[in-house]
Amino acid sequence: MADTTIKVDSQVRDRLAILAAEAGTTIRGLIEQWAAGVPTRAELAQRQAHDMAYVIANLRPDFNEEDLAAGKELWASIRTAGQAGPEQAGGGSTGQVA
Amino acid sequence: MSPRSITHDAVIVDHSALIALGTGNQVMSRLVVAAHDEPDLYLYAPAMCVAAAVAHRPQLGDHVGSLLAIQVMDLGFTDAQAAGVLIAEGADWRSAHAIAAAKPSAEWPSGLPVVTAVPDAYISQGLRIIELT
Repeated sequence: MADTTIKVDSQVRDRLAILAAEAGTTIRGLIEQWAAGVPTRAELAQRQAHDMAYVIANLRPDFNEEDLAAGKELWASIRTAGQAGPEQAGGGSTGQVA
Repeated sequence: MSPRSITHDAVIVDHSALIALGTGNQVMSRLVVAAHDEPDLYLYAPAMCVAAAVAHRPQLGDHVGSLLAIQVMDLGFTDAQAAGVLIAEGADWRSAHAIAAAKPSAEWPSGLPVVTAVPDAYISQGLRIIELT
């Protein structure tokens, strides 16, 4: 693959340089690692389709879009509790889900 | 999908949650499939929990290996040491790695909630749980 150039603000470049040095890599390496490690929307959709098909075929034949929506709500509640922190969320707290 | 967040969230799934998944538990199925809705949601299965679940039901290994949403958490030195201390203090070996992984750490300052059907082991450690019923 051919190299290309990305222009960023000099402050961003300087911060990237610090972050890269602290991670023991270069700006190029830092950006390559990030780009490789974060899935695109299309890749996420493919993974979701894979796991949904596996669940239906092997674990829960009646899994449907309503279950997917309920799963999204459950993750949203987990995120909310995590952002509240352990004290607000209640250390040792119990969340029951049917 | 909502706009991307700069945060990331995760849960620990213990041996009992993996066993529940293998028997078609609705909540576990929902968590697995919906985890792909955002790039920053993770289901971590501690290695010792996977071993315990597979010992209970060998086919679970195929499920854990096949589902892309489940990431097996290796037992490194830090967690091995912590799990060993917990077991010496009387903790169930099947829960020990999950307890160690769920406690507050540099990466997860608030700790992580544990998805489980056996909550007592985690409540006694002051951990947040999501109880499967």
